[in-house]
Parts: sequence; structure tokens; C-alpha cells
Amino acid sequence: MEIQLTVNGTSRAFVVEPADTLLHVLRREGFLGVKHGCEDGSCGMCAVILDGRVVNSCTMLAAQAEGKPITTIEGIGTRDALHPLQAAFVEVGAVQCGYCTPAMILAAKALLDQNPHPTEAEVRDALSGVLCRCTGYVKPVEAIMRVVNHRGDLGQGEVRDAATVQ
Amino acid sequence: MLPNLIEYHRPTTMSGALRLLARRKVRTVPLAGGTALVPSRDPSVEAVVDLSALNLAGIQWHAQQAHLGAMTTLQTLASDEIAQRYANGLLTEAARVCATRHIRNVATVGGTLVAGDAACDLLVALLALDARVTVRIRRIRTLALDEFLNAPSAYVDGGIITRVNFPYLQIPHGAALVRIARAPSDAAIVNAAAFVVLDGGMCKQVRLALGGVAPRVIRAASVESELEGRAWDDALAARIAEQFAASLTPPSDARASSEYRREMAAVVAPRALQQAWARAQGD
Ligand SMILES: Cc1cc2nc3c(=O)[nH]c(=O)nc-3n(C[C@H](O)[C@H](O)[C@H](O)COP(=O)(O)OP(=O)(O)OC[C@H]3O[C@@H](n4cnc5c(N)ncnc54)[C@H](O)[C@@H]3O)c2cc1C
Ligand code: FES
Ligand code: FES
Repeated sequence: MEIQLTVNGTSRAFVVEPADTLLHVLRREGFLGVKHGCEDGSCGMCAVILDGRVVNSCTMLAAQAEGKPITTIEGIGTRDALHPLQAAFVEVGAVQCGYCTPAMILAAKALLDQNPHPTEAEVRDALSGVLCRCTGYVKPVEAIMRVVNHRGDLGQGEVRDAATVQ
Repeated sequence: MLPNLIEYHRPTTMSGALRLLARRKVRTVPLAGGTALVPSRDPSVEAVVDLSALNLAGIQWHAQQAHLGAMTTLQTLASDEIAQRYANGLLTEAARVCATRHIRNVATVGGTLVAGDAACDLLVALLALDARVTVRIRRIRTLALDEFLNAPSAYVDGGIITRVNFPYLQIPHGAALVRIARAPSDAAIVNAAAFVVLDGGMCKQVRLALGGVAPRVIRAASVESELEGRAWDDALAARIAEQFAASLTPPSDARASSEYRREMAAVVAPRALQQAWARAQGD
């Protein structure tokens, strides 16, 4: 079957099987920042922002995402112009192996887009679906709170809209 | 992933959806958020009917009744302003602790009624609120959640849950959810939800629901009837709830043994009742 998906601002038709999950389709199309983890909803590594909300792409059929904008980590910041969240993660050192980092950034971005001044408890709730096996949550929460408290002074990049990023 | 899925449908009318679900040749089931169904790897599922275009999402607070559309996500429930206040926020708290943010953003109330496990916080809370379930097959049928949970798949067979409703009381009441889990974001091992309605110092109505102590979430009807219509007495409520817990034979699993569950039920049940009563009196 053919479905229309909008990924990082670009809309096009994808040929998929009914059983294909959104995770499988995105990875097949080269969005490798969407990680293939547990595939049952437990780890959050496959996170994407769908219609403004962070979701697991492994527990959803690709067809369910039709007509709703999808943002993957590839749609956030660039190597030369990091998103403020990415810059903060670098500055704080909120990374160990890095496997969960795309999911952390996406979960934080979905939260800040909706609520620019969250409390630490709200940040922790936003990360509740991301299972980091290395560094834990202290540094990522610190990095996100840094962005909350100093919006604008971090990194080179603008807060880029998915729509303006290829 | 569903290995034998060959059809995906997203009908825009209820009659169209029911027609698809009624087919006998192709095994067809409803699809809500997909968080339980898609990773289930159920080989029997050949077709899904995505319910997202049927206008089944949303929460309505009427004068006496609250209606939760079956496609309302757990996150919509968790952030509903009236739900945050009504019954001491019992429902919003239950929705928040029962899944992570990523899952709450897609998992629905209707899907939870079918897929929620034996310690599902939201089901425990809905039981305490005396929820009823409306299922539409050829005709519309409304039944108590407690009855529905005896055989969810039998009641929805070929049909669609359209909504859950519960009384929206304007008289003094209090509620509490008490749970035991390895960590706050973990699934509950044992949990209890209590809802009490006051009439002066008398206890007019009590609801006590427990999870993690039986193959499904249950109501403690004997505790309820012993406490209703009496002057409230914390010690008496605790004793009756403890006696009830002692009579249970919970299943053992990787999370906890039967004995542990029984002992914890005797802790969470009195606590939920006492907290609900204290809150009913304005703490
Ligand atoms: C990592 C993880 C952890 C979880 N932890 C818990 C937990 O601790 N406690 C707990 O109770 N649950 C837990 N869940 C399960 C969760 O409750 C369910 O995944 C979720 O509630 C299902 O909702 P859904 O909308 O995604 O349903 P779906 O997956 O779409 O559907 C689930 C079932 O319900 C049927 N269905 C859905 N909607 C309707 C309807 N309107 N009418 C008729 N049938 C319908 C479907 O056919 C299917 O059989 C967890 C899930 C995940 C992925
Ligand atoms: S891979 Fe999707 S939640 Fe783990
Ligand atoms: S940094 Fe390794 S999983 Fe989080």
C-alpha cells in the first residue's frame, strides 16, 4: 500500500506493507537516528515527534502516522548549528555511549515546544519513556534545565523548525 | 510487529468500521494506539481497523456524569483540568503512573480496558469510580466495568468500545490511589484505589478496588458493604480491609510472590481508605 508521510518537513509517498511499523519504514528510508531497541515500547530509543508529541515508533504502524508531521533527530540542528538542546548536552557532558541521546533530545524538544518553562519534575516526566543504560538522568536533566533557564545563550543554532530543515 | 497483518483500514463511519469487524473470513480487530496490539506479535490478526477517524476521542463533564471517549489518550486524561481536581485527581494520577509519557501520548482509554493488566492503575481507579463501559456491536450496550473485565474480549467481540462513563458527583467525597512498585515509573506490583462519599460523619458510599492480587483488577465488595452506612472509624476500616486482604490468593510472578502480594494488599487497602476519608473531610 502507498501512504503519504511528512518527515522533517518533506512530504512524500512511501510504499509500505500494512504490518510495517513506523520504526521499520523510517530506518529503511535512512533515518538511522531512530534507533531499533526493544521493539515493544519499553526503551524509547525509537522515539520520534509525531504531531507535536513524542511517541515510540516501534509500537505504531507506519499507516497510523499518515497525515501527521514527523520529526526525527535528523530534523533537529545541523553539525555547524546545533540546536540549543544539543549544545547543552555537549556542554554539560550529558552523553556516554550516545545511544539514547536522540531520544532524550526529541523528548525534551517536544516538552519545550509545548511548555517552555517546565519544572524539573515535568522534565523528568518527559524523559520517563527514555531508558538510558549508561549515564542516567542527572546530566540530561541538568542540560535541559540549562536550556530552560538560559534560553538563547546556548549554541550557535536557532531553535529550528522541522519545516526549515532538510 | 504483527506477522500476518495483510490489511489496514481507517474508516470514517461507525457503520463502515462495524462492517469490517463483522467479517468472518479475515480476522479483523480494532486498532487504537497500537501500544499493546502492534508489539503483541499476535499471529491470528489479519486486518486492523484504525479507530482514529471515528470521533471517539475527548472528555465531557456533564452535570451528573463524566464521559471519556474510548480514543482519549492517557496523556489527554492526565492533563485534563477537571480530572485533575475531581476525586482528588484520582484518574489523572492513575493515568500518569500507569505508563511513560511516550506511551501515554498514544495509548487510549479503550485500549487499556482490553489490554490493561491485573495491576493496571487506571483500571483500579475507574473501578473505584463505578465506571461503566459502552460497547457498540449491532446494538449499543452499556455494562459495569466490573462485569466487562470478566471477559473483555467476549464483550467487544466484533464491536467497538465507544466510551467509559462514571458519576460526576457534586457532594462531598474523597479518593486515593496507593501503589507499591520497584520504582515510581515501574508497573505496580499491588495497588488500591478508594473512593468514599460522606454524609456528615457517616460513610454513605465506599468503593475499594485492588490490583495485583488476582488474575484481573477486583473490587472489594465485602469491605464496601461493611463500611457503608456507618459512622467512619479508621481502625475499623483498616481491620476490615486487612481481613479482606488475608482472604486473597494472589498469583505469583516475576515481580512478586503470592505471599508478598497478600501482605502488601493488607497495607495498601487500609491506606487508600484512610487517605480517601481524610481527603473527603478536606484533609
Ligand atoms: C512498555 C509498556 C509498558 C506498559 N505498562 C503497563 C502497565 O504497567 N500496566 C498496564 O495495565 N498496562 C501497561 N501497558 C499496556 C498499556 O496499558 C496498553 O499498551 C495500552 O493501554 C493499550 O492502549 P492502546 O490504545 O495502545 O491499545 P491497542 O494496542 O491499540 O489495543 C489493545 C487491544 O484493545 C483492543 N481495542 C482498543 N481499542 C478498542 C476499542 N475502542 N474497542 C474495542 N477494542 C479495542 C484492540 O483490538 C487490542 O486488542 C504497557 C504498555 C507498554 C508498551
Ligand atoms: S525500540 Fe521502541 S521503545 Fe524500545
Ligand atoms: S548514554 Fe548510553 S544509553 Fe544513554
